[in-house]
Amino acid sequence: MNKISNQTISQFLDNDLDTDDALDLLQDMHKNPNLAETLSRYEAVSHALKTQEYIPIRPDFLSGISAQLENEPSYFLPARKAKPKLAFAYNQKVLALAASVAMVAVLLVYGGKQLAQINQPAAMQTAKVQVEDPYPLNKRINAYLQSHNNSVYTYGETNLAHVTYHQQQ
Amino acid sequence: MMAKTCILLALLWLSTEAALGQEITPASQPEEGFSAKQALAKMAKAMQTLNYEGTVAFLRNGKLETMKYFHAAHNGVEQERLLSLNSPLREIIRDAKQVSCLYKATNQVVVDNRPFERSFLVDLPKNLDDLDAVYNIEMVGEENIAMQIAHVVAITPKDKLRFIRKIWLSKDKFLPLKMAVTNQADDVLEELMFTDQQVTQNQEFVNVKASAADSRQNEEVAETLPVSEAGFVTTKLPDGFKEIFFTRRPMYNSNQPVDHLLLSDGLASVSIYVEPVGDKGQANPGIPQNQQSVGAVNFFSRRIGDFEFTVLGEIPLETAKLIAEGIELKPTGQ
Repeated sequence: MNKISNQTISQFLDNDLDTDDALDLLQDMHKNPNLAETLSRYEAVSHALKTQEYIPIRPDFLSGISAQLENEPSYFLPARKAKPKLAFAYNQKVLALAASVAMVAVLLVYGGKQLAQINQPAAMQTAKVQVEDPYPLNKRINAYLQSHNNSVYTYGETNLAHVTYHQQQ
Repeated sequence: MMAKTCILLALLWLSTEAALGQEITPASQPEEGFSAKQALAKMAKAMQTLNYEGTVAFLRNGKLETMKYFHAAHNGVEQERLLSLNSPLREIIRDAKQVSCLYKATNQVVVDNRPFERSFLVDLPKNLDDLDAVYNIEMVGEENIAMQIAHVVAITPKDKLRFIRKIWLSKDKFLPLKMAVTNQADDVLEELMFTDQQVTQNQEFVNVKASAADSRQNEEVAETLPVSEAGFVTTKLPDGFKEIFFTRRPMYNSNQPVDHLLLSDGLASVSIYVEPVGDKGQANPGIPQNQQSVGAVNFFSRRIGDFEFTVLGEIPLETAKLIAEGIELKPTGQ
């Protein structure tokens, strides 16, 4: 069984698995954390063989996600105190807590201790680079616009898709 | 026969007088007996003194931002509040000379000192006569906006160096219902429009400091310096533009101060930013580096010596280019 599963995982990583089998595998991984870990190991090994490039997951990745979930912002305007809504609000909080716990649990399954030590494929590396400094020109344009007038607040920040470049004469 | 001739001449005179009367009645003089400029003055007063709220859509470059708008006024104190309905969720408050923006996703508050602006909707000069030198202001009709009858006021520049603005203000309360910035070809570059608007008895004032106590604050402080501190002069400013303020502070790069000169003709504003080029490239004086647009805002950058100058504002690109080409470095020591 284990051998078949490993072969299936290899096929999955090589994109040789048909859609139905791939879906079955993903469902199995959902139920079986060991299978998910195996996939991560195989993926890392496969990536290492193909590219020899690694990027480790940050150790505080999970705690960072948890902190984000707990860091629930509030609006300036104090919420109106309406008694009938309190029960609803309480239920919402419970649901939000439950969802957070469920999400953390899923993350633990997929990104637990072993995954944190395993190197990640190049796609992750590219994403990391983009997040760090996506569009320096954007930063500059938005800083200029924010200092110029309040349109950054009303129209929202500008990204490169909103900038029209004119032909130099 | 003589009597008939006299009657005919009298009728002819009356009809001519009536025709002339229609011609000499200025277009800016509507039936109610006030001019377009007086209508704008009434609008400015209504915007300051009334409590009102509504839903307003901001449209720029095909991007639509819909927000709830609240204006509170009490004993001469005003507060404007905008609440975005779509991502990125944010709440923006203007108190006197300060704008605070709470970004919901990051729980971050940006506090921005903006003493030179008075409204998120329509910013007119305190004295509308200041616009006479460079703009014509006239009533151009009536339309229905947000189920209200509105006067339409067109503010048209007397030259080709600025954009046209149209303001739709409610006939009933004189509050702005719509504002559009168009180019000379009548293409809409930016627009804001209320989809509903109600005048209310009261509006709640929000205490920003107390409400944002748990948020991460980032205050943008722009200390005003004398314009004489600027290391450059502008020699090709279009008529009507005056210096509003000059600052020097880090902006997007905390290690790099940027000089910023703000100019305005009362309606359109222009910023000139100056940054040292450093080791990025060779000095290339007089050659345009960048020409960009974001909605009605046009950018034009050029490099002079070791500095990059960027002119931007709600002006045509040609005007930004004209102003940029007129920038000269002050001789060292001045």
